[in-house]
Amino acid sequence: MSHQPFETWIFEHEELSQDEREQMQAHLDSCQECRQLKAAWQNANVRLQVKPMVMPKHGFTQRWEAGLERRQVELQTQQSQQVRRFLLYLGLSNAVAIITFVALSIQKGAFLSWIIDAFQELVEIPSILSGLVNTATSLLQAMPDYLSFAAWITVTCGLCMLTVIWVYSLWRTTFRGVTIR
Amino acid sequence: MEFIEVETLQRLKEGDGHAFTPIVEAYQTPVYNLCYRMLGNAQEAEDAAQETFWRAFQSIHRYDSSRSFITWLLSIAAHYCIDQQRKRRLPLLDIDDLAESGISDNAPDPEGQVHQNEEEEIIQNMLARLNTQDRAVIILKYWYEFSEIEISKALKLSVSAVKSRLFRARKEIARLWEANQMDTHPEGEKHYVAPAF
Repeated sequence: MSHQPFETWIFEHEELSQDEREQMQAHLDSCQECRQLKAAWQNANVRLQVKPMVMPKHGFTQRWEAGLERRQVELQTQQSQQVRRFLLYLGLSNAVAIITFVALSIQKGAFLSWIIDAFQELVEIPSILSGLVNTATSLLQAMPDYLSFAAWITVTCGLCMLTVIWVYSLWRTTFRGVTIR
Repeated sequence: MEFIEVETLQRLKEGDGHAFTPIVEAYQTPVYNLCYRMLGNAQEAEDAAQETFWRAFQSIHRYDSSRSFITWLLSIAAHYCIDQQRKRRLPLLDIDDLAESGISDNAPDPEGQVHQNEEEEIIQNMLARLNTQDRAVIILKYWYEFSEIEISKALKLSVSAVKSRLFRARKEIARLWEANQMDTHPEGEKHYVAPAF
């Protein structure tokens, strides 16, 4: 025997139409299971309507205040540990990378030539930079005046924004850490 | 105090922990009650309620002041308890705790207290046997009179999911009630006293 939609009508407290009420009554007269379920739900529902509130033991707020201090200290300790750990891992990984690179270079006998190359590159940096400046200057000169001014503003604003983001990230990581959940 | 004052909110956002104390004072019972109904154990409910307030304090900057504060707070409590239940798997029942933690409707006499504890036991037994999410839905519906929309927001469920969970939970409660009646009156003389309403 199908108990639908009668089960739905029993458990959903919607107002039934006259026709639905008659159908429901007819079903209940013939179906003991639904009759029992309806009676059981009505009794249980009465108990649920009583809904007594259970209170915490006396001094809940005082325990909260004490806990707050403890948790804040714990959080600060956790965050500073996190920052120290981060810096330690960063330093260690850099050291490992440098040592590995140096060791590999020495092993291949290319360390000395690498230093010479690096020195040569270093010497060439001013001329590369001056080339870049010349290119940028000629590009800016080729542009109409209003465009060159806009380009300067855009580049300056972009650099300022990047600097702010960088400084903020450093400050946040150093002083506030990351919240652990 | 369904919404918190702008000034208090501002102080909280600045990290002033003392500004949160009146909120804990005002909401300790609803939060603790929800945790107790969900977890069924006084000590765990105390820990969960404390954790709820700590989480609320930590994420107060995310609180949308146009939303009801109690809904937001109970949502944090419900999610925390659901997570705890998932970790624990087995629901615990510790009715003896009720003697220690008070019930806000004071019983007039020892007999009344015993009767109240029996009622509590029946209710708590039924709740403990429900699926965790269904239990949260029932608690929010009956103890806090949340609408289906409010429950859906608090538990991050769709309204249709809330409806189907309510239906399933009510059916389960009815079955448990029926089984309880069978145990109490095993002789087949079923004690169905369906009040007219």
